[in-house]
Amino acid sequence: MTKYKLKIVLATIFCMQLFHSTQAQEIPEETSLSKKEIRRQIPSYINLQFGLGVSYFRDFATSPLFYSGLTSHTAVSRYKENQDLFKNYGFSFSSGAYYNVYNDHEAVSLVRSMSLYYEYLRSINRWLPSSNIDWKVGGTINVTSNLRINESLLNNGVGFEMIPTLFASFRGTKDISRKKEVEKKIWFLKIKKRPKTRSLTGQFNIGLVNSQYRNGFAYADQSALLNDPKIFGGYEFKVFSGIRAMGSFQYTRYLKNHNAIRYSYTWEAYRTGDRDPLEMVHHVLKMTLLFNTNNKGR
Amino acid sequence: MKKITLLLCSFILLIACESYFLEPDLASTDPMTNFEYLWNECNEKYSYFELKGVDWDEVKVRYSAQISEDISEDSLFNILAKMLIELKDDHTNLVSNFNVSRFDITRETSDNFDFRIVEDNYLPRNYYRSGPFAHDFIDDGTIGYIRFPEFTGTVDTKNLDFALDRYKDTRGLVLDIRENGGGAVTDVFSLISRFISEKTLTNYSRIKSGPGRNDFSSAEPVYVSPNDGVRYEKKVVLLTDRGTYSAGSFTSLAMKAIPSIIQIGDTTGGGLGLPNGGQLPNGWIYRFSISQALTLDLKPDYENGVPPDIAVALNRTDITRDEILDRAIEELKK
Repeated sequence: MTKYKLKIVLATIFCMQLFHSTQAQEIPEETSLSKKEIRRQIPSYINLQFGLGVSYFRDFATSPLFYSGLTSHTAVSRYKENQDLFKNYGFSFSSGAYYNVYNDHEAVSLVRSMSLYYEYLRSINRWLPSSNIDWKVGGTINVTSNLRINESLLNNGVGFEMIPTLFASFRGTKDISRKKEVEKKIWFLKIKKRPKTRSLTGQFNIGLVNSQYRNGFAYADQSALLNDPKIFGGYEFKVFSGIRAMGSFQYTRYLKNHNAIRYSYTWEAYRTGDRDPLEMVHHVLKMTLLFNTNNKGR
Repeated sequence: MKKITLLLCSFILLIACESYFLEPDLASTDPMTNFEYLWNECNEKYSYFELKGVDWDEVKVRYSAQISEDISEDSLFNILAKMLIELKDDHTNLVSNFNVSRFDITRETSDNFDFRIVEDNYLPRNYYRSGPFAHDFIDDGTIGYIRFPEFTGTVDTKNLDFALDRYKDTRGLVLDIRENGGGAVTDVFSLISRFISEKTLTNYSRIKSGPGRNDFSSAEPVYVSPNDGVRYEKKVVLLTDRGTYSAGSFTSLAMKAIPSIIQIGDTTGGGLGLPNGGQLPNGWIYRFSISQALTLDLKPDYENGVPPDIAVALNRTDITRDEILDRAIEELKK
């Protein structure tokens, strides 16, 4: 690890710590509530997420060709957000059949992916000029693993990799709620538009510490030949290797009972940093059901 | 609203940067592109150039001269296939939707096995079948014969316990792995563990670890521990031929470390390198060896075939006798 890379990590950890400590110092001045009581006021949700997407990947270790396919996504997470804080942790699962059809040859790769993630962002509006967008920055830790099965690739037919990443995260939320009832007349119809609580959010994560746990140079593993079969025989862990970014654009509609529905588009791309890199891109449309767990609405 | 538009535009811009994560599409049917790709993959990852005495750079010059832009797919396939056949390795193949290339080591010598001769002249009509093993008594019940045609990965404790227990009172055992083309290497160790009484170092193995011709991992020892179930520690004869390949050759290599086992027949076909698998830019599939199995004196020579302790050939003019099996019986009677 170079000194420069070490500085980036330390700076990220320092920034995240700063957001924690800044908030902790300000609480007693703004309110007489205890920290615990303040935390309880933050709307809290359990998210159930479903999505469909288009994804493609290429693993240079086995093929120079792209594989693409339709993928299904599900996720469960615990989520808290107010104007000061955004915290979300959970896991997601996606699966799909990825095809390469070229030159009258067809190959299919069945891919199952699982991610564990933790996101923590704090508001930075106090340092910005007056804005009606709620800006937050922080960090995300995401560990994604892929299991890929492609029988066409013979002895290299099974691929597995783990991509742990520490991201810098940026999030902007615009409250687009209709505060008052509005009456509109369209031709001869009078339409009453009731007050609605809703928001638009954009989030972007850029990998600061990209790492990978992947097959070694030969890709296949000789542990079975050594009479000592290992699941991850010959695997190598590399830190500060590769690039990764994620982004999402979300529309959230809050209901009277404090639950919410969110429609979102997410994009994710990464490339490992080894000699024969794995490249993967996801475009996913998602619907999320947010079940409020503390009866505190926005 | 401007800020929302700005946010949205930034997001779209970021997605447009997707090409930063992806290198250009390399799919191509261009003959020279595919030739170069395959040659280079082998150049960096194939494990037996030195042993096979192949000058891979010279091979490139010779075969690339045969490639032109308007060459047919079939002709390109044949050129690439011939280039791979230079490696004389049956773990090396090229697979397309119209042909599969192979070296076919068995064609290098005459055929030394016909199970019908064994069935007709040595085994009873309803010989036993326990999992992948065909077996019974031969030579008036004094010797056990076990035919193991393929390493299916299905060798289980019950099969072996039954077979070995059945022949525990014989003078010796014949284990026939002629024309056994290999399969699951786990079966090799299941089998060997029945013929040893202590933890045994059988061979070493190393795998390619970099693009240089001699970039290998360190040689790692292969140990086999004795099985807790039924073991056979009397004299055993292992029958091999050129069709004994891959896991079959591993068995022969490993059994060289066991003094009570004698190998009779022909040299095995080799195939001691672990094959990989990959795709060319035109969608064809290739595979070749990427590891080396080493003898106890750390030599890779047995890739060219594990030699028998006693070389015997089948006389194909006499379909009533299996000379190799006869020689095994003779050896066990000593």
